[in-house]
Amino acid sequence: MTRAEWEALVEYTLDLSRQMMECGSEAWRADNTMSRIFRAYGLEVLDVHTMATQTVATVKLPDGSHYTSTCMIQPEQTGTNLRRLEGINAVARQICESPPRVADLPRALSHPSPRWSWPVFFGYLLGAGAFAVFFGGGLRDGLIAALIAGAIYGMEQLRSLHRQNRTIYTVVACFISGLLAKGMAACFPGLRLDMVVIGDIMIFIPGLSMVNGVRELFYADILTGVYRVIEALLGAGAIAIGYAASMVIGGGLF
Amino acid sequence: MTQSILQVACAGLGTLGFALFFRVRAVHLPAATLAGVLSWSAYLVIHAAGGSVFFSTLVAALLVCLWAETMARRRKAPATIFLVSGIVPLLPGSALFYTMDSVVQGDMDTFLAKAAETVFVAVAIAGGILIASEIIRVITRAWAKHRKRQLTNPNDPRGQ
Repeated sequence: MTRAEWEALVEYTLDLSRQMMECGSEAWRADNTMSRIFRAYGLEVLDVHTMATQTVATVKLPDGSHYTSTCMIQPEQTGTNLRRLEGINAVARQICESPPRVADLPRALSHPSPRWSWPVFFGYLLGAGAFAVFFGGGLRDGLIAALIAGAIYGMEQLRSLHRQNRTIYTVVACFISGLLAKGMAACFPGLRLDMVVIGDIMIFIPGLSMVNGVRELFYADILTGVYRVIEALLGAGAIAIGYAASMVIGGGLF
Repeated sequence: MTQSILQVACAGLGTLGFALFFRVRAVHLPAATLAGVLSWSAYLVIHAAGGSVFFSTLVAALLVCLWAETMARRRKAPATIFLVSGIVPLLPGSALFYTMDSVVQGDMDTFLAKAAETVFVAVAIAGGILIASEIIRVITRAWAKHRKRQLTNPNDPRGQ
């Protein structure tokens, strides 16, 4: 292989790591994937390090020289897409089992999933509705929570289109959905506002960031762990601010 | 009892909803949904046996993590798929709401209690996952050593 091909391989692998992080992977998993691919091609791995905002790799090329490259991870692009994560994982496994020529490395990875997805929309409805009942609400509370979750999915679509800041989006989306819940409670007497709101809150809770963050802290990946924990705290704070504002302002409106 | 069955059913439905929301492939949906059912059933059983919220959440998270790792190996898929879906019923959604609500109501005692509950539950989930991950790591290493010994010296009784 020529030097240009080795460099292309390193960049391809970094891109794979970036995409894994964007789908919600843990940093150590992205590091492992990169190391396995480099070793499959016979490269000596000097350092691979994935953080929440950047991924870096240094390898020793067959001519003895060192090559380092980095790839930026955009926090606004990150989310939870487990289907894509599984796809990337399968591609990485395939590459490790029988490493193809660099020119033949699969190129279909960059294709983003479609913005509007009916199964995801249905997931929003089912998730919020079921958890409203789970926490003690009735069937009607669950249906209203599901209805509002549909509106939240619409707002999420707008956020992806305009690539808005996630924290600000969470405040605004929680505020609007809180107002919707307040409005519904005014229209339907007997509706349990707390259960409707709790069902919808579940959608926003940054569970993956929190869990991954604490795990990374315990595995001494302090930088990424702290980043994720702060991200989760910001998310929780944004939820609280958005809903609290809707309860205060909505209290005067309805 | 009826309330518990309803809760477990809702936990299953809610987990299925979140698995769809996380774009889990259809083939993994049953195992991901079962992870949620398992986590909440375990929580209810341990809590009914006298376990605190912290301990019940920790053990439930531990079990769901073991389930996720097992499923990941059986189906050759990342454990995250089953883990993230399975912990959803344990997430402190209700505690977070009442933390926020008590601030709005100006009830500082409830605020402190609910804020602490939110943090404890979050730490318990992470703690359970960490313990399970360590168990899996130890077992995996021991198994790898065993396999290596078997390959290098088939007559070694420790490798049989």
